[in-house]
Amino acid sequence: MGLPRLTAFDAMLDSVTMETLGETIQYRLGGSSEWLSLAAIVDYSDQTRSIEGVDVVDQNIRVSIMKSSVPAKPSNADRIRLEKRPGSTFKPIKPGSDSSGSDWVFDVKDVMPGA
Amino acid sequence: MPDQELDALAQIIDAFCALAEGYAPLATETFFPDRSPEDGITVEEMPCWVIYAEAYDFDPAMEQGQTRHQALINFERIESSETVGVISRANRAGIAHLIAALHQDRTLGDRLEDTQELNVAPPMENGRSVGGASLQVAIAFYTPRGDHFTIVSS
Repeated sequence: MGLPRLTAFDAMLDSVTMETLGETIQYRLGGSSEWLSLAAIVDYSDQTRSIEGVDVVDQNIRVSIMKSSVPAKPSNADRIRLEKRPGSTFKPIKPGSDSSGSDWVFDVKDVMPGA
Repeated sequence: MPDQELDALAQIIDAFCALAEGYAPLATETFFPDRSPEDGITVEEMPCWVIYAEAYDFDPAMEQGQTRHQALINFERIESSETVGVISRANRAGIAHLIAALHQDRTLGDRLEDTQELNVAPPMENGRSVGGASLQVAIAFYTPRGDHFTIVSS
């Protein structure tokens, strides 16, 4: 009998990890009016950008969610609200897969209230 | 320690700053006449302006024993909003107010020969939640030859 493959436990480990380490975000699919509560890992780091030679501190938030909770690739019509950035609504930009292939990872951009 | 003696251009940038700060539509905006570029601007400080001399040159005005200075001054407006665009509407409105503020006193109380707004340019790249745009103005003024600390009234 061969050794079990670790990837066979991915689905179980991923969901346990996300539930344990993640935080709850609100996610609304494009075209829907319903906000879903999902577990996500959010990196709230800021980044310094040079705007015509003047350094400016700008958000560089990265969000990671499980593909099992949002199967379709996030689109810029989707909307996100983050616990630690109350009052702002964001949309996903530059969505892609993580290295394991089981999570979506994307940057976020502010959207106008109501948009 | 006493303040370092201000050269003519620093005096002019400070005067522009005071003129803009005193203009009612810009009352809620912060002006930085002497901000180090690496002293990062935070969201709490926006909208704000960083004012700096981009370049300056000199011509002899020999008949008066003076030097005519020409300088390009940049007024860089930094804001944070959902729609930073290439040049955001908020930045365009801010720049329009600034031009009105400068027009109140184009000679800064007879210190300048003239102030002329030249152009507005976007940055190479905006941030995700922050955007900038800069207004460039050209100014001309006189100092005694060899004394760049004293502005001669025009």
